[in-house]
Amino acid sequence: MKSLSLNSSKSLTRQDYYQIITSVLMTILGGIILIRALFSGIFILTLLVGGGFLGLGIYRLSFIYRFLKGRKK
Amino acid sequence: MAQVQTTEKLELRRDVSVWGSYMWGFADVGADTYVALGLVMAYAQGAASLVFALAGIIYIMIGLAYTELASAYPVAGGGPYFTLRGLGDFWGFVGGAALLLDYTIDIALFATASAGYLNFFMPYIIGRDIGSFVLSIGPFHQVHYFWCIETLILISILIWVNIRGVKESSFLNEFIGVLVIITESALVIMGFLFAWKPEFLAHQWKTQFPSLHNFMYGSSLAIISFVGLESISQAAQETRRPATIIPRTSLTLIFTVFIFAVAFSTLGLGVLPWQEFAKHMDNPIAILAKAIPLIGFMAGPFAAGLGALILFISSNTGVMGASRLTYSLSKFGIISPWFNAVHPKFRTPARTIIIFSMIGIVETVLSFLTPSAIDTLGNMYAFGATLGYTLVFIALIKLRFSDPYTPRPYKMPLNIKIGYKGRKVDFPLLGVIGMLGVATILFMVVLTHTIGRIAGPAWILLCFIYYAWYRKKEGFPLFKSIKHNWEKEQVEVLTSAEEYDLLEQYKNALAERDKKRMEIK
Repeated sequence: MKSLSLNSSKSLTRQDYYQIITSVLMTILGGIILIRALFSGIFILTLLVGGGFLGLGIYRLSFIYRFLKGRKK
Repeated sequence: MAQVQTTEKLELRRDVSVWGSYMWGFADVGADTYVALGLVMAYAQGAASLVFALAGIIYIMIGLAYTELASAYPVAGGGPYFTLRGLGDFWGFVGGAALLLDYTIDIALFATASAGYLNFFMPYIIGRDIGSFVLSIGPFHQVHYFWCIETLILISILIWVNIRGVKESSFLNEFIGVLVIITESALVIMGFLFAWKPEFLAHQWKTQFPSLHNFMYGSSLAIISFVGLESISQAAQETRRPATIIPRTSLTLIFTVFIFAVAFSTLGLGVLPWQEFAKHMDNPIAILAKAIPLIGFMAGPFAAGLGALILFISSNTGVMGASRLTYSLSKFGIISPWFNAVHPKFRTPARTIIIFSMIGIVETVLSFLTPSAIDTLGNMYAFGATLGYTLVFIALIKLRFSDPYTPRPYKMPLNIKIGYKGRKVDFPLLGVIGMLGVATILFMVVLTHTIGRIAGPAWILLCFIYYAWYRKKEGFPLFKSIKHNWEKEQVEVLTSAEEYDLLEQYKNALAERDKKRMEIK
């Protein structure tokens, strides 16, 4: 499944920048939610939300990293 | 069998870009949370986040199904068109009638909610709350007449904007959509950073869990926070290079909306008690924004203003969707070509814009005679959506078998290869799971929506009377299909969309099929 499809051409488009920014924000937010949730006791729902944000953010960032690395080559 | 007469003279223009297509969808789906948050909280109570997440998972599957079908068949008809192609004229009509009901409610519900967010400012401007503008009309008490008038004015503006043309509306969607994404992101980040208390969320979950009936009602209402993917497939007809653009925009859209819906409900329950959202069903996001420390005094009114705007746009997509759907249905002999007329100057389907907006106006007025206009409209909204989506899933599965030749730039994941009539077909396992999920929500709607389960089928029946009259008048079969030349139609669609690679693939697949048939003979 192509859940994140960055532009295949050399230059990054407005949509690509949008996806990069949101991925970074998702990762930061996920981390914050997870830390705050952990400090206030173990509750599965809060951990899921935090973990979900963090996981999705990291997945998207890894995709972006591979894409940018591929462009350099 | 009779051959349908195509009376269409003017085509809808293909002038919607990638960003425009995304924003068209976001303006519709993204706005749903602004309405659904209060409604769902009122019933799902401490379990609102769970309800949003469950509905969201089903929505993701619906979204993937739409992405596959809209990129393979990029035409204005959306769900009913896919149903028509997969299951024939009658079911195409049922899907169309269900969706038309939703579009008219969309106009009424979102214009009402938009006015609700505007009313957030009332105490600041005139020193009075909207609750003080009520009167009794015969057996109807506490009628919010002022709110109703505001809503009717908003719908009238939309009628005018849409008759003027899609370009103006798309620009409006794009500009405000960007503003809303930035604001929602800021609210979520600031909210989770400074106002969210995970222990409060856990407390509400443990002590305020809803009854089974309320949980089911809340779940079926939560699906309305995700209604609007139809807009992307509606926009497919007017999008440049749709087979390339639609998968990108709709996949991004699906995940954006899912994340915002789950984030807002989780944030909300960790900031305020659910009763607060239920009390302010007309502007729940503004109430949440107002509760965020440091920025709340400014974020509350700002979110209210933006909420009013995005809901206004969402109401606009209802007007656009209804007109484009009837445009498509009339083209295939489901309803009269009279609906097919396009305004000679503005090149927009002016007749349908006026007719279905007027139905939206009637629904608005009637809903304001009930104790809660938003609750009543939301109650009816879920029926049409779930019925239409169930049919779309069935059509998706059927089309994998009956039309394997049309190239699919995107396919739903989780497919099993099975043999069918001497060839391998990808059986969509996720499509079956999605169909069962939506059908379960449809069952919940019938079980718990006292107004929707009567009004929904009554609307379908009313449409069926018209359908039967029209088909009989034209000499078309009632339950069987008119002979449509889908292959010619597909070639024309791909040519008009400038999808030449896909066109070549399609022609090659057809040629190979014909060659095999000749060999067998």
